[in-house]
Amino acid sequence: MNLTKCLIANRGEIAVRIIRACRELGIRAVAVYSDVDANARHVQLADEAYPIGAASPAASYLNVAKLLDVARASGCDCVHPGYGFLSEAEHFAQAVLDAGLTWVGPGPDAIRLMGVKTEARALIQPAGVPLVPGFQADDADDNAFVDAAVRIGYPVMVKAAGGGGGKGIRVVYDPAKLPEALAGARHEAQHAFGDPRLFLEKYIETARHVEIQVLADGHGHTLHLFERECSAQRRHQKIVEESPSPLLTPELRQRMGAAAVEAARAVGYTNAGTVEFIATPGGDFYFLEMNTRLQVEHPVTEMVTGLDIVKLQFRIAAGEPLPFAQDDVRQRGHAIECRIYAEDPRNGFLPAIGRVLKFTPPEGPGIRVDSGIQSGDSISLHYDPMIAKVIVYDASREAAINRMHEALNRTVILGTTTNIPFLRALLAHPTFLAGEVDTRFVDTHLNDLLPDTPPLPDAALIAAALGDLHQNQRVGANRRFAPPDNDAVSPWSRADRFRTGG
Amino acid sequence: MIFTYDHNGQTVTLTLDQQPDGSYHAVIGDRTYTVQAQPLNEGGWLLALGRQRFVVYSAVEGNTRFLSLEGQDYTLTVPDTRAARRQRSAGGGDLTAQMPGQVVDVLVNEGDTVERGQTLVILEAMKMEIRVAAPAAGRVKRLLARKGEVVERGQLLVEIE
Repeated sequence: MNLTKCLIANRGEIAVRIIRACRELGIRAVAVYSDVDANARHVQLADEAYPIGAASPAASYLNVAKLLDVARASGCDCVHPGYGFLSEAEHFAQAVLDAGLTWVGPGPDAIRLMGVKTEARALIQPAGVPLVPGFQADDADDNAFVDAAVRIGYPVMVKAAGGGGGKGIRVVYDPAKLPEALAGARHEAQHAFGDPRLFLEKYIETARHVEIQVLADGHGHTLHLFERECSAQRRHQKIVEESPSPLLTPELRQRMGAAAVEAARAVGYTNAGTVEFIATPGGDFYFLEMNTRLQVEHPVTEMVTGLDIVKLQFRIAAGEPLPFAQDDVRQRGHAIECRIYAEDPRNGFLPAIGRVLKFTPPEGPGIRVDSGIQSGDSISLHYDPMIAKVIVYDASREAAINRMHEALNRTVILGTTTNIPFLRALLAHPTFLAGEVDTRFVDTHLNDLLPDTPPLPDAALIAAALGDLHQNQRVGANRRFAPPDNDAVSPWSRADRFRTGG
Repeated sequence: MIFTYDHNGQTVTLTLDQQPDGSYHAVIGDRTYTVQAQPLNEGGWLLALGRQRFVVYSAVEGNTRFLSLEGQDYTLTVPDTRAARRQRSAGGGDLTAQMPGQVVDVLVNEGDTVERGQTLVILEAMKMEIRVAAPAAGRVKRLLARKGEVVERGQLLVEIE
C-alpha cells in the first residue's frame, strides 16, 4: 500500500466506516469537522482532526478550498469523499488530482459522464445495456411526441431533459391528455431549468429497484459483487435494503451483473460504483443511473460476499490490481440493512431534531451496526438525520428477517422519535415477507405501516416513578450528606444540567 | 408517594413507596404490585413483578421521561410544576428558527388556540423540512412568519401566550 495518510471529506457514520478501513490498512486517518461536530464520533476516532468552519455544509463539508488546505497542511496523500457532500462533484475530484493527491473514487470524467442522464443513456446504449424505452429529439413537436408515445406504449412519463428533482415530470395514462401534459411540463421545465426540452420514457408502474455493485481497477479488470434490492423506499428515499434480491433468478442475476459491468466499462470506470436498474416481475430490467461513489447500503454486499468494499477502494486507488476474478466472488446467505432515522413517521416523516440521550446499539451473532453518533449527541438540522444502519446476516431470508426484528427490539434510542416501529411494521408486512415490495409500496400502504401507539405498560410507569422517587429523595436530603451524582441508586442519566432546587 | 404523568394526552397516576425490606409497593388503578428493582448501569431498572421480569431503559430531559421496554418507546411528561415551568421558559427557543431556511407553510392564524406539540410552521433548509411545534397549549398572539419568506437563525416566527 503506497497510500499513507487520508483526508476523509465527510462526517457521521460513513466517516467512521472509512476511518476503520484506514486503520486496518495502516493509513493515518485525518478527519474534518464543522463547529457542531467538534466532539463527534468520527473526530474522536481519527488520528488527526481539523476544524473547517460553521455548521452549514456550504461553509464546511462542501468547502473545497478548506478541505484541500487541510489535506496539504496535514500531509495527506489521498482523499476519500464518502457519500453525499462532494462525493459526486467532478470539480472536487479534479481539484484533488490537481493538488497532486490520490482520489479514492472514480475519475472526474466518469463522474461527469454519468451525471447527465441523457448523456449517460447515449453512452451506454451502444454497449448493449437495456434502457427504458423512450423518445428524445431536440426539435420534436407535439405530433412527434404523440406518435412516439403510441410506439412506446402507455402509460408514459414526460420528463425535462434539462434537469431533475421531480420538476417537469408528468405521468400520462390517457393519450387524450398527452398534449396538455406536454404543455404543462414544458412550462415547468422552462421555469425551473431555463430549458423547455422534454423527453418521453415508458412509465413502469410496478417497478423494483435493483442495483449492482461494481468494482474496477486501473488494470482493465471490471467485475460485479451481485445485487442489492432497494425497492422499500419512501418518497425515493431507500429505507430497507437486502441482498440477494428475492426477485432475481440466477439467470437474471447473471444478465444484470454483465450489463452493469458493460455500463461501467462504457465510461472507463475505475474504483467502486453502483449501477441502478429498474426491474419488472416479468424479468425485464432497464438502466436507471450509475452512482459514482460508495453507497449507504454497501454493507449488505460486504456481508454476503465477505469482501470489504472500502478497503478495496483504497487498494484500487493505490494502483493495485483487484486480488480476485469474477468467478471467485460468491454470494452466500442473506443480509438486510435497516436505516434508523430520527424522524416521526406519524408526522409526515419530518426530521425529529433533538438530543439522543441514550443510544445502545444491538449486538449478537450476525449483527453489524454502522453509526456515527453516541449517547448525548444532538441530531443537527444541518445534516442527514440518520442515527444508525443496522445490518444483519443469516443463512436465509426468513432467518435474517427474524434476526432483524430481534436487533431492532434490542436497539435503545431515548430522547428522540425514530422510525423503528415503522421499520418493524414493514418487516412484518405480508408483502415484504413474500419479497414483493415494489418502489411504490411504502407510500401507498403507509397507513398499514404506522402501528398504533401501544398502551403504557405498568412496568414502564413504575420505572419512571422509581427514577423520580430516588431523585426526590436525593434532593430532599441534606446536601452535605446527599450521595454524589453518579450514585448507582439514581438510574436517570441526566443529560441536562438542570437540578431541581439545586 | 403519588406520581402523576401525561402519556399521549392522558393522565396516568400511581402510588409508589419503598418497603422496609427494600422492595417497593406500587398501586396503579386497581392493580397492586410488589416490585423488586435493581438499577442498571446504563440507566434504567431491572424490575421483578412477581415472576415477570422487565428491563426498562430510561433517560430524563427536563420534565420529560423517556422509557424503552421490549423495543418499544414511551414518553411521559411531568405535569407543570414551578420548576418545570421555569425550565421550559428558559428553553423557550422552540418558536424561533433553529437555522436559516425558507418558510414552506404557516399552519395557524393569529388568535388560533393551539395544543402542545401542534405544528405551527414548516421550514425548509438543506432539502429537509423542519416543523416548528407549540411548546405548550396556548393562543397564537403574533404570527411573524410568512409563507415563502427566508428567515435567519434565531428569528422569531410565532408568539404564543
